[in-house]
Amino acid sequence: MDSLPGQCKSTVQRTWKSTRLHLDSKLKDDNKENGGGVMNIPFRVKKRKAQDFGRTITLLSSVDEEKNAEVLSNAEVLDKDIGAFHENVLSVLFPRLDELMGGGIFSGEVLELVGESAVGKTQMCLMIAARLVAYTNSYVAYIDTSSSFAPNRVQQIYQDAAQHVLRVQTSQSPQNWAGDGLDPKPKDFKIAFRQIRVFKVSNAFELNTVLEEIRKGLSQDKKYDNLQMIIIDSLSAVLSPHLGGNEYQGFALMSETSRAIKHIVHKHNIAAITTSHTVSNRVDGLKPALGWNERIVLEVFILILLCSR
Amino acid sequence: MISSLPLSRSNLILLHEHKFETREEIYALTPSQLARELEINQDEALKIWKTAKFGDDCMTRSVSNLSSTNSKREVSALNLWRRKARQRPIFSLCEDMDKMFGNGIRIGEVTEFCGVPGAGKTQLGMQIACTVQIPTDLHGPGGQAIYIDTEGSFMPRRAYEIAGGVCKHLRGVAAISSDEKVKLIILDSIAFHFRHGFEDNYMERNRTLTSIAQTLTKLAQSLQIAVIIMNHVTARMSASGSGSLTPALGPTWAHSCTNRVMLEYRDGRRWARILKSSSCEAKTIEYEIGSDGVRNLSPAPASTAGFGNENMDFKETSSTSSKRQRML
Repeated sequence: MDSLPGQCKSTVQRTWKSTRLHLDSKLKDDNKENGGGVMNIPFRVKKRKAQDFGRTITLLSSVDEEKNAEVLSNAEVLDKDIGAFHENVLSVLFPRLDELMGGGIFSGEVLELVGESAVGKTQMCLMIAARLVAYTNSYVAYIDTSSSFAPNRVQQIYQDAAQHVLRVQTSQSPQNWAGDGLDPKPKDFKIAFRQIRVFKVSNAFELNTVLEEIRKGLSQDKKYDNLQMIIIDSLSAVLSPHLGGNEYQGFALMSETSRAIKHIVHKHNIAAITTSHTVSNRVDGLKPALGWNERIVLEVFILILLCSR
Repeated sequence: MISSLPLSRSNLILLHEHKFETREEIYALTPSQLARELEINQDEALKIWKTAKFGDDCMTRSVSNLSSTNSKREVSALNLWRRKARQRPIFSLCEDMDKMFGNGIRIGEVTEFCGVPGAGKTQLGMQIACTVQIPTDLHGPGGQAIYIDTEGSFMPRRAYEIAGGVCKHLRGVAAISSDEKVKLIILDSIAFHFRHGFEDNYMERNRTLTSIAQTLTKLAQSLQIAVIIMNHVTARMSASGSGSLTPALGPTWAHSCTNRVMLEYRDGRRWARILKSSSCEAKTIEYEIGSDGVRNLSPAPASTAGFGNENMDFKETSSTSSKRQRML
């Protein structure tokens, strides 16, 4: 199959972009006031029909007849290829944030949370993990590089999320649930916690080993069949010591990690979330600790969290 | 890919010269074959072979056997929760502070205390080094503490007083005996040696600091101990020209610790405030330091307004207030 014409990429709704979001430091309170009745259906399974995709290509190439036929035939092949490919959208956050991200967190994509210290990156990751296991039977792989996974806190977040489900449920009739295979009744946290697999790593080499293990488990052993999301908190903590100065392995490690994440995400239609801290100096202001190079490697959707104090 | 393995630069160059590109190529050979191929000695070749086979840093694996196999690195959240519930907490004997952290000093995490000189960091460090030794029979952690003193602020006489205070709290119960396991590491302070000498080379400083943080995090996680680090404060000038106190060592270090507490000392009163934590709410508590060490604030003196007895000190002595504290 020939490669698609360049225009097609830009018509697809999801593109690489970075957005700035001004977040109040009291995430939890904000969520509470938006939670309740305003919050959208927690989990939507959106099957992107291949016909939509094909139709878009047709529109673009209607000028040149010959080209048109060629593109159409490519689209048909694509149809078959991605017909079975559906994107899961996990709307786990409050509506404004969901909107910003085009609906929520998409499977097959990497989301990067960048922000200063104590702005709420870890809390957001914990909340997303808690909600995913609350509403589905999917597994989450939580790769913890800085001891940020605190079981008691996650329990608190989970029970809070479960309450929101009940509140939304009572206000909406069951027909409004747009997902299949959804379990509307939230389960006991102990059952849900079995679905969160926590990996403790403390350096970049261990991180790569763990990613390799997950990759093998997914493709060969079928060990992680139900894995829907990988969270790495935080990526920059393990990679930044290797960048710059006399360090000779920084870029190799970074690209190895990016490659591994990308492979898992694209091949198995899994969502990935990574966090990164920021550094600042008088010249450049605030910028991600890992620099902008990695963005080109990874095709991530970046969310920059700022905190007003 | 070989270039992402934890090998020294010279070894990487050597492997590259001999046209090795992937890990599989390395461990497909036996170590002795590898030694012959690369023209190095057996030990060196074995190290390279092991690294290629297992991927991660062999040095760190030998340090903590707990993470020696891949499967041990993965654990379900449920098991983590259960393990946490079974843990013996480390109490500091300042009740408010223990409550601020949830249930005593955070175990398995790195906690940083920063504050101005005189805020009480070293006092707190010495105190927790004593309380961690409270024997398990008394529901204490029963462990040993390692106190790393970089600025010479550890005073044995004061530590003796504080230990006496702890014993008094336990109502003089017999000798503190502990098992051999270390349950606490205190680093007092991290800032002292890093604040000067790195003027030209902040990157180097940040890298060193981050790798120290990583090592300590790894120790905390794998051995399930508490790690406490003391830090200084520095002034940050805001755009309007007014200054405020922030923890020293910059924003990169800010990300390294799991929890961060600021100790403030204003008008003779002392406050502890959580700046950053993944599991504790942001709270501020007040505490005091007496002859027995760091304790909760004593209750306000009984009302003597009508008697003009301002000179009389109704403030309870530390020993009586410590009797009030719940028994561990």
